[in-house]
Amino acid sequence: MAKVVLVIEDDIYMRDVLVAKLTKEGFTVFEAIDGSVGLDMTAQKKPDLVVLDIILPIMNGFDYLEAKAKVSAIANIPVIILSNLGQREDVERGMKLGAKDYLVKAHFTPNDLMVKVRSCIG
Amino acid sequence: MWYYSRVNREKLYAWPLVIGIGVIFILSNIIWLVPFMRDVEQSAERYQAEIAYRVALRADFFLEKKLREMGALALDILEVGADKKKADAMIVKFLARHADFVSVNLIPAVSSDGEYSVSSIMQDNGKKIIRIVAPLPYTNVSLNAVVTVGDIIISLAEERVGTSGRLYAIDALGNIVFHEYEGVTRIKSDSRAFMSIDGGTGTYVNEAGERVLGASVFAPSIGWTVVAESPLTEAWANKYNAITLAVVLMAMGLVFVVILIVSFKKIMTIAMREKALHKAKSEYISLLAHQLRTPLTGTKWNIKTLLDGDWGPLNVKQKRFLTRGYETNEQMIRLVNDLLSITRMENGTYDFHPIKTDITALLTHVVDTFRDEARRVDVRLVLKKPRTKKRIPLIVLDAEKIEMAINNLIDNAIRYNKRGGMVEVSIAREVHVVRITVADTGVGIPAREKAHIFSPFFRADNVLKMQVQGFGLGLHIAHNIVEKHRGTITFVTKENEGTAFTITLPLR
Repeated sequence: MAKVVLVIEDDIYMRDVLVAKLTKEGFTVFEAIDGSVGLDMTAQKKPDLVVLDIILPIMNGFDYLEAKAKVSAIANIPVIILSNLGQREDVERGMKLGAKDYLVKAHFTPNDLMVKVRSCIG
Repeated sequence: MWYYSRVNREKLYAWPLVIGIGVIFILSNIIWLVPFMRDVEQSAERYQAEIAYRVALRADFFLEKKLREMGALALDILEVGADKKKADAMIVKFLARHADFVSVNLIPAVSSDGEYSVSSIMQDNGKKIIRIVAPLPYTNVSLNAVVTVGDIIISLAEERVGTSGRLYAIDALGNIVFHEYEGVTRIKSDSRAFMSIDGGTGTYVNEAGERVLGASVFAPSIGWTVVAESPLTEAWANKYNAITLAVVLMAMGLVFVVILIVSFKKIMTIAMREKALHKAKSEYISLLAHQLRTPLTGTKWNIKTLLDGDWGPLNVKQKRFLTRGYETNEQMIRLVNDLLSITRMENGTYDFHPIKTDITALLTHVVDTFRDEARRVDVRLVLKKPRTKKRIPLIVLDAEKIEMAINNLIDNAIRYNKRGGMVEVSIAREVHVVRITVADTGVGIPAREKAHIFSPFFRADNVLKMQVQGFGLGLHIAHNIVEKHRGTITFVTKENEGTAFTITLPLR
């Protein structure tokens, strides 16, 4: 059965290419455009992995991680942060909030992400 | 919110602090003031007591002189025995020689103990007199002499007590012997509780209504009490001056403390504002980075999936032009990164996080990231590590920033090189520094443009002619990073032959 990935990204161009790439790679992909919808979908779909942006409307990525950690049913779902916030303190904060990895979008390619995704969930 | 709670905490502490420091000031002034005031009082008492003592002594000397004179007369009278006529003649002669004796006569002895007696002050025809009765030894008669004390009183009263003090004396019955105040005949004894046979000092309100300090001394021979009196404002002038000084010092101290606290509060307010501004700038730049990178990243990822063949194969031209689009986009991303770095440096929000780092491993990693690129443009990339087995120790530095600096040097060395050229990266340990050199066989830097090589956006003419993409920011950023690490970045160059950039970083 295909692994399920939830993409939480508000930029339509990024979200489309992520969904398309992940689907092409054989994953079942769901998408959310903000952290709040993303949290609901995480609880509903219980994906194998979340690919999470940080700058999001309504609920940003850091707040999503904090809220997710409080719900035992979804707390252990791995998260890869994919954001253009690249300052050291942002990376440290994301990792401290439980992310498995932090990729600065501008410095990585879709194939780099796929390598990280596969190392996380196979 | 954090800002306001900090200010309120300061308000909470400020006034207790002022009060606390004020109490310390007051106590510290009291420590020297109290003994000083006591010293002033004691000094004034001693001064007045000395004057009173001198005067009392002179009064006693006067009496003793009269007694000696009467004693001499007594001896003369004794010599003539019972001859009353001769005795009277001697008395007349005596009175002629001693003007202050008003009268002398013989009376039956009045004292059984053989001691003389002195009367209180009396008035006789407007003159102040005393009566002295001195027994003749071995007889039952006494010499009874009336002596005027006017002259001695005038002499005694001439003694000065300070500028506005005064001297007076009273006899055993409290009658005024002499007093500066005319018309004062008697002294209120209730306000003179300190006067005793042993002398004493005290403060009281005198007959003129002044609050005064009095020092009394008893003249035992004549039986007078001499008092030196001085207004408190004069006697304790130094004390009042000291109190004034202490109050002034305390007030100055309190003013100083208040100024200190107000200044401190202002400094804290400015510091907090600066901190908030710094934080706001940092957040603004982060958001700016994000907003600039977002469309560039979208473009990058979309094109990359095409180039990777995710949506089907591309023909040669499709691949060629898409690759150009991708590379141009990558340049824009690099420009945004560099501009953000420079903005952060200039705004002071380019935070450095130094940690112990294996510089050799860092250099190896950076060189490895360029191997594909070097191969692609046919440039030989070589890394030379120290020959000695002795490792370069860990150095405290910001690994991310130093990696960026070295990255910029190697990137330039490859980009501005010739096909078939070489880039040699080496690292060596010296006594106090680590030396990293990036040497290339590229186009070099024209001599006239060397001075500007680290300026932002500067690109030498020969490089511009190459039509190689770049923005002239890499060396400026590298220079800034190395300087922040207290290192140096230098270069040697020859146009058309190549350039060698050398970074030195302190080992400690």
